[in-house]
Amino acid sequence: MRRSVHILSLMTAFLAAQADACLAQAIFTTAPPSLSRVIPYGSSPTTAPAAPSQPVHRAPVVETAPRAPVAAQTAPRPSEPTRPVPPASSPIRSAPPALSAPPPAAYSFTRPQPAAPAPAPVPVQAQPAPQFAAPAVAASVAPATGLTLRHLTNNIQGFRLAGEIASSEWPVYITAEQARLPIKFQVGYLSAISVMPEASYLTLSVNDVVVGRANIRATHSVKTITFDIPLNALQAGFNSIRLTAEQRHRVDCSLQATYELWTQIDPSQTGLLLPRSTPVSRLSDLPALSPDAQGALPIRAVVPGRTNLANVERIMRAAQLISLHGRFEQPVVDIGPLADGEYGVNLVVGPASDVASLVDLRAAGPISGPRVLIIPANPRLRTTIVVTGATDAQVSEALAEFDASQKPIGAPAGLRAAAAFPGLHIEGGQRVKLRDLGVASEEFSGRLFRAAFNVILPPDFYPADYGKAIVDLAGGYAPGLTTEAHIVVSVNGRNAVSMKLPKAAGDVFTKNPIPLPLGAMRPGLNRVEIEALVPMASDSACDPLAAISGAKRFLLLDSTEIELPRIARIARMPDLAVTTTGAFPFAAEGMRPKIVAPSPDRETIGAAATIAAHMAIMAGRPIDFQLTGALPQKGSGSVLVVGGANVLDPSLLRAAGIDPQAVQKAWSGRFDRSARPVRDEALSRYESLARNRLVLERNFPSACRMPKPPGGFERAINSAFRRVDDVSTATIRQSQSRAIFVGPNRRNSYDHSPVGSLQITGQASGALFDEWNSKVRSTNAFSSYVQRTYASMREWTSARVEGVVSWFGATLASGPVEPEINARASLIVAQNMIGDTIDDVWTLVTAPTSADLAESVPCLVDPRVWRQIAGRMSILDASEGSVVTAPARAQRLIVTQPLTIENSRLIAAGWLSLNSQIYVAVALVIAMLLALTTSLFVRNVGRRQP
Amino acid sequence: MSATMRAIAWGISGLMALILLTQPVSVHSQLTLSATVIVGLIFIWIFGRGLVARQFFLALASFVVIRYMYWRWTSTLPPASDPLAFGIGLVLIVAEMYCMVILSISLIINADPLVRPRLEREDDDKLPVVDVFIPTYNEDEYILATTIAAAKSMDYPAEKLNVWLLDDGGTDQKCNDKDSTKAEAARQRRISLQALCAQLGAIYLTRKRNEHAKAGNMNNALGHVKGDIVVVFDADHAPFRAFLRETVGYFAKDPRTFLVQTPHVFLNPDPIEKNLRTFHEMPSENEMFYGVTQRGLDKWDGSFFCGSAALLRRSALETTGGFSGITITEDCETAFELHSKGWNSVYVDKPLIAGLQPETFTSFIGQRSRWCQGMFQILMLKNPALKKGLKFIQRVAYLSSMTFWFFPVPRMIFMFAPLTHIFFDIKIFVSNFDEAIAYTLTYMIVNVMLQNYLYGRVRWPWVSELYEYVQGVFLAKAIVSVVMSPRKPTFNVTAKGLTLDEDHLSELAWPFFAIYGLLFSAGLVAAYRYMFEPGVDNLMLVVGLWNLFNMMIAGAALGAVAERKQPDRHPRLTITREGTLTVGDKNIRVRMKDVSAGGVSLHGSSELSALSLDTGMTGRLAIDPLGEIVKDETLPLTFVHQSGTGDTAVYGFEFAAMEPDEYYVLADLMYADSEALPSFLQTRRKHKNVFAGSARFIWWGISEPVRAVSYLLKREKEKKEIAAAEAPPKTSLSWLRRFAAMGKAAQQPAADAAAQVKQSA
Repeated sequence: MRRSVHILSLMTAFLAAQADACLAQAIFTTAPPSLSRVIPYGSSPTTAPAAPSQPVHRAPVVETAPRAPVAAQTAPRPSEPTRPVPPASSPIRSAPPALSAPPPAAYSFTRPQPAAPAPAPVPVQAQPAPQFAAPAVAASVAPATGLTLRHLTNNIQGFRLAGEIASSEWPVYITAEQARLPIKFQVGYLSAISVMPEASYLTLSVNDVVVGRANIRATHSVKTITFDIPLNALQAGFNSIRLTAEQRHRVDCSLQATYELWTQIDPSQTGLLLPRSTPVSRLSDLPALSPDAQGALPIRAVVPGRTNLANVERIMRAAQLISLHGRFEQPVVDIGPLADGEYGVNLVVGPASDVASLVDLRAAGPISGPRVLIIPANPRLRTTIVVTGATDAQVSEALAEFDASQKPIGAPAGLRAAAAFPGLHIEGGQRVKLRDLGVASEEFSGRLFRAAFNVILPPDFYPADYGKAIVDLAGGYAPGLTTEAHIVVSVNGRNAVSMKLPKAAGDVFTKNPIPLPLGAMRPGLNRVEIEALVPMASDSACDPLAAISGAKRFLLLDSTEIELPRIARIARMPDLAVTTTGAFPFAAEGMRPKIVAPSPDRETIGAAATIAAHMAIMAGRPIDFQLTGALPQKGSGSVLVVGGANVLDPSLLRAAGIDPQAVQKAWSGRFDRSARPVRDEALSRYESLARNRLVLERNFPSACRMPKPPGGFERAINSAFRRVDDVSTATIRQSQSRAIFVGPNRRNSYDHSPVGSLQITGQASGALFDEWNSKVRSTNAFSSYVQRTYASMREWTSARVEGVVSWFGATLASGPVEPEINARASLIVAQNMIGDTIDDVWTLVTAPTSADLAESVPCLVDPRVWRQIAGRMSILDASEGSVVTAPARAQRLIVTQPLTIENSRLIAAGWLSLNSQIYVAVALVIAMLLALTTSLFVRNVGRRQP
Repeated sequence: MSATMRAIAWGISGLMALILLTQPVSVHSQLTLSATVIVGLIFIWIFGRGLVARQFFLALASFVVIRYMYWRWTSTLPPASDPLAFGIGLVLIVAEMYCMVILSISLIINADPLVRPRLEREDDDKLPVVDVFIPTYNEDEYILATTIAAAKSMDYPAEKLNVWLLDDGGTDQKCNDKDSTKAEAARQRRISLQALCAQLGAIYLTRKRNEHAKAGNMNNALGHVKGDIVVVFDADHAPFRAFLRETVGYFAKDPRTFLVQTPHVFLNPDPIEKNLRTFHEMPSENEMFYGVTQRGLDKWDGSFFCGSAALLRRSALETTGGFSGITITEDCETAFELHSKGWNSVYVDKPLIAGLQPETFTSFIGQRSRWCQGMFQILMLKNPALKKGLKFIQRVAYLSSMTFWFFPVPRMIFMFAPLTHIFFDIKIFVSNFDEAIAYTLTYMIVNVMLQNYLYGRVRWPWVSELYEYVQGVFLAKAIVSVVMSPRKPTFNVTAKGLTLDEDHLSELAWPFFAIYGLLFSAGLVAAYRYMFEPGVDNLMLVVGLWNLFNMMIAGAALGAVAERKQPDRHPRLTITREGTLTVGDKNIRVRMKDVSAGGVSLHGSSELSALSLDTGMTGRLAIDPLGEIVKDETLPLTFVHQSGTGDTAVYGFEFAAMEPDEYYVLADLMYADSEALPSFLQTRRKHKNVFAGSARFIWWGISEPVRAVSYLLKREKEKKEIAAAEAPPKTSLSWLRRFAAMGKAAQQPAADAAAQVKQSA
């Protein structure tokens, strides 16, 4: 214990020393990789400072926490007994193959260079140059017991498995060498206290084969489970790793209670356990890079030689390529010197002459042509990618080759998962099966089934109710469901359509069409959830034993299809959601988009590169940004302005649709760099652990800076434990869990409600409520029928009335209340159109200073935050990880596709659907016209009226 | 602006409307549109006048209809993966499509119904010679006497007016019938009718064989006449005095005119009007046709011959070899042939004849079957779409008149479609509740408003549906048989002048009971399932309401087949005439209230009450004639009863046995005042608004089944009694008595007449 403390203090010092170099990493998540990474047992504490992973058994919070996440036991012993699934069980224990051929640990080339006149390329097997293959690496590879944890990438599905059933899938790449090794999978997780361990399971599937299952027990503290993966289950290349949580409530069988159930995967404790001797040494193996403990991929861009715009552009492009090829959903780019650490990558782009001053390229021979080199990680250096050539032109050429050289390989399921990253791109008129979206067939015995997937619609998709996407449901339901049983399909957190499950005798269907109004979708990323609410009358009794051996109630088959009808293709701007999840207008055809950095310092460039990489991910391809310092001409291409507000010209803010005075008022105190607020105050060890736990409980985007709550993190947790839920908690919880995906103008929040909801008194009041409820409600079938009808009529009518009122409201009022830019704002994203074409879209990302920018952008690009950006302006509060949006007042249409008859018709239909009063006005005018022409026509044909 | 420009302008605005309406807009936009349209329609209804307002109304209403149909085709069909539901859904949508096509054609045809001004009176010497044909087969002599007398009394130079009685009941073929009783009756009929004609100044004509029914009969007569114009009156259609003056002038105006048709007006109710007791308050079923559709057709030179109350140019008829007789609706066929030869037709919307129509449900169905089958025969044997010489709009007009008769099929589909969902859970219609409101409900509202706007003056809400259903049950079969063999149907003379002494169920009633029972049980099942079966949703509610609506129709139809007794044997016509009543030696001036073929009612007066009449007392009535024919003839009266006292009293008299020339007096009394008929029609042509009409309809739907069931129970009870004691024949006894009284002149045995009546029934 004392040693731990010692290590911690060492670490703090280390952190301080690194502070300058790792500006972007000063934030918690991507911060010192050593903080939470798993280290080999017995490795020198100085080279790899042992982490907080040896928790002190003091705080009740962590009482049952595992001893250091798996770290290096002599034998890989699962800390929880796994329950191997029969078919997969036998091969697991087979001995790993002898490492006869040590994996390559040297340069790797984009391609052989037969024409290279210079000395033959360094053979793959060659000993690494001493600079790179430091002895420490050799030492760390050597021990047979050395295991390393390769974290999962943070993705849009997130680390939270909520409800009675939830799953999350990752495309995970392993190299050919790794595929031959015994690999384990470790899951660190924390669950809600209401989860009943006996009836709740965490299941790991690899390439759609169930590999292991374990009871969910971590209701008090983070626990880890280690699964052995059968030897041939993983293939070289992409593999699908899916975690499924099936959870049941301890005491409450109501539908509402299912919203209390969650399991949070602790990304710092979760990932593949690989033998250490497997550094990434080939360019094609880039996807095998390890993200950091929070799932972000730190990319340290190193600018060799003089910084010039062309080189920075190339860096941005290279960062995009790495993110795209590796399926990293949360790349975070910063600029600085070569960095160390196990996670992330160094990126060096430049002519050989410049690069040589940073990296010893002698081993690679003379650089006379375009080259992309990879230097495997060592304790002093992250995996480093060098994109170079003899001249600037060759460097660009090397980049192009880098791009072209990447063809994904892997298991079919893995390729499917990789293709669905971060969501499957679908176009109008397409049918997609759920299995291609990563949803597996599932038999379900709980009350609230949920399956979710992400699709990316074209950014110029014009959303309105001119058509319906059809969910052709395949599956079935059991007899005996109550009348409330129904299916809800929600898109981006909003109920889009529901369908009753009408037959008392149950039903099985292969194509049960559920029409989903197109207006529920939006351009760019959409998260679609299919929920089946399947309560039975027996649930009111709520026998926990029944939950354990629950009969199957619902079946969803992965042959369920989604059919998207033909969609109107025209873009609407401004709309930040389309920009962030559809990369529009940057990825659109046309002139090169421009990144304008009025003050191109390191922080700004890093932030810009990070945002550019995210745009590329959403576009599914790299975007050729042009970097300029000066303001471009109007109409010379879409523009992304990145810069600290203190250096931005007020006219720029105005051009982006922001009131410069409001910005000035909110941020003027922070404009002075020297007066920057202290970042995180130093946390005590316990506090940092407590904070970690809070982050998990709240599914907090960890790159955002959670402020110290009054009384500290520890107290926050303890008070949460002590708090007792009342009956309404479930309702609150429901609304909150629903709010996560809600779009513009709803102040978003993570799970802020108390977590350890023990229903001590709640049970009694609940029973009382039930008693009353049954007395009042179900006197007889007829009155309940009357009530039901009345309620549904009232609901329907009030919805209509609301619609009319809101219509009038929208017409009469000047518009929704503008969100205020206040001092809590960490960062503002804004968008405006200064003209009519796609080249007139201006997007602005700003924070008080460039340092603030570098601090807040990593928070912004967490998928959980990124997806909330919408409207005309989005204001990030990094301390909450929340975004407030200002809806666009007037959007303009931008033609992106040829206006064929069909497209024009759909666009018109969409526009008329959104402007129904105009539709009606046009109809009246045409009717009048028709009446006049008919009268004229009729009066003069046939027999005339005398 | 030239005609082409106008057509192009109309085409462009129509195209714009179509483009707009086939935009797949959101449900919200649709609801906004429909609601606005409904408000707009009400607004136009209240404030709009004139052609443009009318067209605006029709355009707006058709927008909602088109939106509905577009939505039905694009969004509501069940998935093809469920073949059964898809099939039934398709059948339903095709049925709806049919209705929409009929609606749109009727909108075109009724775009601007023609209003013709009254003709100016022509000089007598310019008038053409007119031959009046009164074809008869089995009608009673007193009916024929009235019709002949009325025809002879028409305001026209007597030397230019020939009246021909074309007797098909006394042909050589009939007189030599194998059945000697029948042969004797035919011979008797020929002799007595010849005598009647001689006395009334008409020409009796019969022929050898009964070939080609009515058309053959008239063609036979064509060979005997020389006049320019042929006028056709059914035996029971007596013309008013002004008939020729109002019509014949059109032939001089346009030498290509082959037809002048006038409306048929009936003095007696049809069985549905009689059994639902609507005759005196609700416009007749045929008023929609004669009051709107024929006028609409007239605009397009498409009004057609309806078999009676019409004038035809003989020279035109000769170009086609007379009346066409391939089909059993020779009238429409004749007009169709002549139209295709470039002749023109004229429709005069002024009631100028008064006739009788079938009184029993059975004969009503017989008549409608003939029309329906005949129209299908024309459609199949002489397809208007392919017929050479017709103008496009005439093709459309004829096609619409013929395809209209397809209505029984969709009507039956609409009646039974809900059962598939209620009983078998087949989803025939894919829609959510919001869409059902935004499309279906608003469509129904607009549809009712549209019908009411176009036809409200002549048709109460939902009455069309009732008539369609009542006929549909039997006509569906008739359609199948005519489609299978188009040449098979033969002409059956519609039985009229039958009377009903007692409340009873029609012999055709049982299918209506069966269907009502089915729908009723479906209603119960739907209600039960909606209330108690888990998971049954709003679709069941919608379908249940639909079934309830069908039940209302079926319930009202039960009333239509529960025949009420007919207290008035002879339909009365209200008149305002005066005359002198002679009782004994007293002559007093009297005012007449109404008149029928059987008697006359007088308004009470002090002189009349001073007479202190007793039942059975006789007298004679001299009228103040309007025409020239009546000189000093009087009508023999027998006092029957008095109702009320003083000035409000009404004295009812029966006509005693009349001499033939006394029929001229009756004809003058009934048919001389041409305003009597329009004012009679006007009394019931009152606009029935949607709510009142629906309320009335619902009341029928609820109350009429009760009455029908009470008849059923009564019949069951009587059956038992009859089984116990053989009942005496009850056929039209009072009618026979009257006939026997008249038989003094006609010398025709009553038994024969009774046999004839049975035959025709």
